[in-house]
Amino acid sequence: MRSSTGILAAALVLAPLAGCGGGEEVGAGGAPVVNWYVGNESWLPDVIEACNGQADGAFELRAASLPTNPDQQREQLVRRLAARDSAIDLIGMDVVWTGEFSQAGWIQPFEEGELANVGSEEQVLAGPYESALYDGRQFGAPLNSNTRLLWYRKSVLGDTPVPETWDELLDTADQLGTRIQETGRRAESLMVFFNALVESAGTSIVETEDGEARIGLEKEPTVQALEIMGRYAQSSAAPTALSTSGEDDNRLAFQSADSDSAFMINWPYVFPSVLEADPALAEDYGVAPYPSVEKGTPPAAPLGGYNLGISTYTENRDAALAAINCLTEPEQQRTISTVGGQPSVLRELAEDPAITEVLPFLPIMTEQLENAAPRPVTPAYNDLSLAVRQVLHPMRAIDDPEATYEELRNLLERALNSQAVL
Amino acid sequence: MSVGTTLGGEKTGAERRRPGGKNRDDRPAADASRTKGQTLWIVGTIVIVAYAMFPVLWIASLSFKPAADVGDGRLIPQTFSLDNYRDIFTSGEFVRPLINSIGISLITTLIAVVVAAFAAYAIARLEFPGKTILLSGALAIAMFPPVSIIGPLFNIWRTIGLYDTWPGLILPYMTFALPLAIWTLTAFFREIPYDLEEAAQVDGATPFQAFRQVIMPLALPGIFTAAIIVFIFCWNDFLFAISLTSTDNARTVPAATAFFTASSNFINPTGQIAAAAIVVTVPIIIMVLVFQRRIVAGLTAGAVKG
Amino acid sequence: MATTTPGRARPTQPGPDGGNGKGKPAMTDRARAERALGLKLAAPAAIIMLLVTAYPILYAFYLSLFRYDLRTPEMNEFVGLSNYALILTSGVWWQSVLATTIITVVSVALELVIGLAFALVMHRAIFGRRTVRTSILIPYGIITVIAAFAFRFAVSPDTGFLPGDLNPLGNSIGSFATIIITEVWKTTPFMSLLLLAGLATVPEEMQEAAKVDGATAWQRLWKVTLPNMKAAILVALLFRTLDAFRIFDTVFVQTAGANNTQTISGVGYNTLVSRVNLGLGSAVSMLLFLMIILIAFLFVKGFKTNLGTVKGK
Repeated sequence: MRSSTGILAAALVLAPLAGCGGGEEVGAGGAPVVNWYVGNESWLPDVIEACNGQADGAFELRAASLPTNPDQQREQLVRRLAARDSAIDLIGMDVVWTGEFSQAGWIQPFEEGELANVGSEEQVLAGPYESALYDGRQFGAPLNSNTRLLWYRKSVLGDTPVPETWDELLDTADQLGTRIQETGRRAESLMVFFNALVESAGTSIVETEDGEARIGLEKEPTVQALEIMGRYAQSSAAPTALSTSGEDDNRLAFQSADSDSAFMINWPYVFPSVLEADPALAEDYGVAPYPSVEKGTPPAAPLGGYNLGISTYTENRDAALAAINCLTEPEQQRTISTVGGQPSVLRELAEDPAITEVLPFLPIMTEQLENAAPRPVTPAYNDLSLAVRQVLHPMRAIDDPEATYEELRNLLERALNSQAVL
Repeated sequence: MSVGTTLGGEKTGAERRRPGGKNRDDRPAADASRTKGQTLWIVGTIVIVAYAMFPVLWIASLSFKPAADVGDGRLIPQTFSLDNYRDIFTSGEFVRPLINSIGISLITTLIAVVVAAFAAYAIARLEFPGKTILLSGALAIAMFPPVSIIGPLFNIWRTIGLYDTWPGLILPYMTFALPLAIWTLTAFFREIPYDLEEAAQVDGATPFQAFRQVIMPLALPGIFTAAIIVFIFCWNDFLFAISLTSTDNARTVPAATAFFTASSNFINPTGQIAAAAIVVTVPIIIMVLVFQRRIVAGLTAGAVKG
Repeated sequence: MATTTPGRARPTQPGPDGGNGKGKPAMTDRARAERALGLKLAAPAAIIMLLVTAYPILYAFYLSLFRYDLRTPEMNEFVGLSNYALILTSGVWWQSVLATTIITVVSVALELVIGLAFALVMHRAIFGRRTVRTSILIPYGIITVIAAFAFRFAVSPDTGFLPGDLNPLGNSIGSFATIIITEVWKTTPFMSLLLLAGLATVPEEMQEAAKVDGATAWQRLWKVTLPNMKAAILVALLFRTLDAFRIFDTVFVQTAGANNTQTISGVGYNTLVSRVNLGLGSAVSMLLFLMIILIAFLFVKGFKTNLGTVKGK
């Protein structure tokens, strides 16, 4: 008896020692450590080194890695923030998490003038700036942006005009007997696709009226968007593995020497990666704006990237703020673009020669970021995204867009009120 | 629920027949049908071995392939590379979870087996009220869906600070470790002949002394078996591990493997996962090889006896 | 175990009642001491088990009566049973019940057949028995997540060996098949070991007698072996069914619930852990819990009737 309780007690007492964490950490030079939770990006080591180099004791930035998959990144952060984990100081939030994190009280708003480089729309491109606001206040500091583009193989396309709308794209692919690489797996990318289509068709998933959020999605434009998704997935232009393919599957399929796909919708990172893998092939890469739904309307291109947020539970707010102001400086922003292929959020870098040299299509991206269609900024964002994936995956099953519309609308309405089983 | 088997239930028919030798030793009757039968069993043996080994070989093969060859579809790697292993041991994403896995599984096993040994002894040997309830309750708890309690545990843990700590996993692991150990050990204790204990009691020993001095030494192999089985279960857990941890503080190998990061956000860490899989699988295979007989005895004892 | 005891047995004679008696003669003091010791020894285990399961389950029931979403803390309130209503009117829930049932029924049925075949091989094998038993324990020892990855990699176009454009995880049937094959691979050993123990209880004499009567091997299997190991089969089925019904790991790794393969545990996990909606998620947990109890209850009822008839014969 006694020995059993003794061992139990000892184990319970000793074990927490193994799991100590949190509290105010101090780095090598006595500087407060800023733990930055962010997905693994190629430019991370460079910008961290640069900022730590000039921090001069104000902070020591340390990246804590998150899983590869953005859904898993979010899931980990959400649980730790709900557990009030003080070991998290700075968060690299996918732009779409901003609403959820703000509403839950997990991140702190920025006060007027705190953000030296990214505090106003004069400094930041419209799309990224809008994504950082919640309830009229700025909760996120835009770090980098991202947008999807239409990539094509010049040699296959020849004199054929570059498609501007989805219908043109599908027709052209059909004529040329080629495929269009696009993601179709059950992941956030499906929401990205759907949101871009409905925005371009002229409606929004969520509309806010008198501070009250409700599901928008007017019927006609939504059905039009669903028709495009179904038509694409059922056509011969869809990759055979569409329902499981993600960004990198698309990149590899498009980049392979004997590719059967002359088109691809993807983020700009594909360009630095083909430059590295096969510079000659990169010559054959053409790039055009994200297709729109109706000819003549501006494309509502998807918007990606990170907003930086300061955790409510941090004990190093000043240091974290100083780190943000360093990370958003033009110097670091340039690194993010040239190393990672992701566009900067800063207006002043919109035509930056150093960036344009690596990313010749920078003007197209800037144009798209100004007119981007941010995904809904709402605390229920994650539930909405899961609902969209639930109903629209696999895309080839969208046979009857009107029925799909009703189903989607019902589920989204429940999801907006945290009442959906997903 | 007793099926009336003994712990020796793991013995095969052939084995049992051997001592009596009443039908195996009439050799001359080795006719054609028997040879045919034997061939069938040998083929069966080969099928089983192939069945068990195939996925292991496939993942081993992937783990030795350099990233470029992952898609070549060959079982034997064209070029043999240890890069994936080097990666997981240098990236820091694997070593700490490995330590967590070992530590958490060992502590859970230790607590569970000690606590269960007392309970199992009481169930097997002593008359006390609530004994049947305890045994059937343990069985019911072993069948418990872990997802039923992760919500409340998360909410309690985040409030009292057990979230993402070792005890935060050790406690929920008790839900399966204790019942498993109690059942296995009860079966083992029942196998120990009563005579010994009674003799000790006649010699004037109290029940507790009888337990410590007579039963315990005899039960050690059984306790060891229970420990192996409990350890394997802890080692295997995934749902608690991904729900109640989030960092290297307490994240175990299965959870860490599922969340491996790659060099870029969009690239799959196939090779690293395969290498990690091999690193955590090989020790288990060795353990299984060495303790095969005990594990079989323990598994069937826990489940069939009672 | 049993083999080690005889050698160690002390030559001393057993107690006065000469055998396995429980010390029946009135030894009230002794009985009382025994009772006290029994309670003391059993108490820690009982307390821990109550603490880690009964308390959380009650708390889960309590939470399930609230709107309790950690993302909108200011909106939490008592909502009665409406979480249950939301779940039972949701297509996703019924889809997950269907998926869980399909996976459970098909995989347990396959495990029973394959497990029985393996048990027969192990029972009869004279040559390489050790090898067989060791290799069959390998799937048992492997972490489920790892097994799930192994099969996922094996069937994925970019890492696997399937010819051409085959992509099982891209459609519903292929996804279910992959999940079920993984489950069967991983858990058949356990099933076959239980069945092997059952086989060992079938009297060899009956086999021989049937043989003398001219029964074929197939007839002997159906008429002698199986009826005699009915209890072992039922126990194995009960254990595996309850275990399969809470399946989570394999689906999480292989499809993450895509292609209609989301299971009940998966829905619970998504709601509780990824969406931190503890109210709704707890209601999902409670429903799963009730279903497990129902299955166990049906099985136990089945035992009673079945074993009753066996014993009656």
